Amino acid sequence: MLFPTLAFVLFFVVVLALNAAVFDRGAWRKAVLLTASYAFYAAWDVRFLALMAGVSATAYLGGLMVVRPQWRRLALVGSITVLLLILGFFKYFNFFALSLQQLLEAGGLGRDFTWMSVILPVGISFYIFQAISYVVDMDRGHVEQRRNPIDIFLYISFFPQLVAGPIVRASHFLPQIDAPKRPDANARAEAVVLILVGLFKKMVVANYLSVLIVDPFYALPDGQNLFTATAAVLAYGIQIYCDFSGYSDIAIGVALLLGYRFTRNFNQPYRADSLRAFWQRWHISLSTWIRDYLYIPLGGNHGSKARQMLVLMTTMTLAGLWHGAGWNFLIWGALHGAGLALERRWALRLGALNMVVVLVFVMLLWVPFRAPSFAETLLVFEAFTRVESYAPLTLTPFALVLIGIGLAMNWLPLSWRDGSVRTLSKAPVILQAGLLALGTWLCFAVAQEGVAPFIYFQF
Amino acid sequence: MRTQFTFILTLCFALVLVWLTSGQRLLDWVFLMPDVGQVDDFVIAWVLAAEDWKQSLELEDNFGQTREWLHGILGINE
Repeated sequence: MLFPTLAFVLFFVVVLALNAAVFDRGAWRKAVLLTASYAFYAAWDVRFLALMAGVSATAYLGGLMVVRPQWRRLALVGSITVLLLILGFFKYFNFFALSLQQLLEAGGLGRDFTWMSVILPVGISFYIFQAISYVVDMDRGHVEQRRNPIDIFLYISFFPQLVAGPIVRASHFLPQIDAPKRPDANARAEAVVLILVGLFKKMVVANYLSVLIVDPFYALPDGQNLFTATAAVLAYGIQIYCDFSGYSDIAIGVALLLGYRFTRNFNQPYRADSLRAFWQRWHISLSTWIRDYLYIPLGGNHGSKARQMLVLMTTMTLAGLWHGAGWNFLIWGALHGAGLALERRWALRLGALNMVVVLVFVMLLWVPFRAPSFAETLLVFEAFTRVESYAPLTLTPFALVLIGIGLAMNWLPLSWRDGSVRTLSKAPVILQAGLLALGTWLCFAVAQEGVAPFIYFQF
Repeated sequence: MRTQFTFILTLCFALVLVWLTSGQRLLDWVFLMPDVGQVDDFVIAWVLAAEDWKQSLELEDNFGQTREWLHGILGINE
């Protein structure tokens, strides 16, 4: 079930009503949300409910045992190993099966492994990351132990953030499970603004940029030139931002209406004046997860400058590979790591131009991220060297306006959004709900027929 | 608590209004849901009755018209 669908709207209104009805009854409230979350996931593929329950059970048992001194090490290493093996199996099995098949074919031992292809369960990375963070945080003493398994099962499966984040920390979410805050006028207004902005970003800006510029460009990169390549690279940078931050906005808004507050996941990332600042503004919940559970355990800021740079490179390369087993993701991660490492040694001191340099670097690195192969990545970069081409894209005024809107969303002062939240919070509740309904209706009307999945669902 | 229910009721009312004034058929969505046996039959019977009632009202497809108008002024070709 995708957020920008009528099916989700119907589902959510029912859950919202049930949640409100049992809001003051803790056990019932948890049961309603847990059932709703499992129904939400079952709408994709009912077979993977057992997997999600298994991951939750692993985290729960790991959390129970990790606080016992005699079991601590075994529980920590054991549960993290199990969780990483599950993640690794689903994410990389197809890659290794295909590689083995190619290797055997090269050696004259042709074998067909395609029948063994494994489906990647939607959102598996996100809920496994949450499970790992729960066990590790229990070990570090950052979270209070939970004896009620429903708390952990709900933490792992809570539907607003289940399939593409934000990755919520147990220390932030578990206390809210016991005492969620009934949404007041401010929270409702904030939720309405977030949901509408998120729907607009996804259904209008991201989806149309994809259809009008990005997809046709990447379907025929060798027919493009400098102008169309520039537009397409910029368009993809905006598409992925609007797609992913739009999903996060909706998730945060939906959770807020249910009485739960998530932390912000994007903070105008293309305004960053350094790569470090970019990663502090882009997919913040994943960046901080990588920092706390990968970068710091690998050594973090300790040791010599060279060692720190190596740790940064390793962390970002692994983050790249998390997106998928392939050269392009490896290159994307490694180059971001290299950029961060170089920046640590030689900080950019170009004043206002810093932002431009970072923006160009980030946008160009989206090319290997989006291109289906390394060969196509090279074709895109070749297009930058041509002024004439045989099949350039037609850039419609609407598409160019969307690029402008997407960029504006990164530069408009956040106080504008806060101001609209303040104004809406003073409006009667009927007007708040009416605006949410009308805005959603308009987004559906402007959007294309059909539903485009969110980019980050594949990770 | 009362304001929360007012909020939810307004959303429900808006949903019904949208369904009434649009060409969207709930029946199409119901058939997309997982088959849950007798519950399915019950839901489908209710939705069929509701769709029949909507048909009898002979309301216009405002959603489709707005969509066409918006796509026209934005120059979007489906």
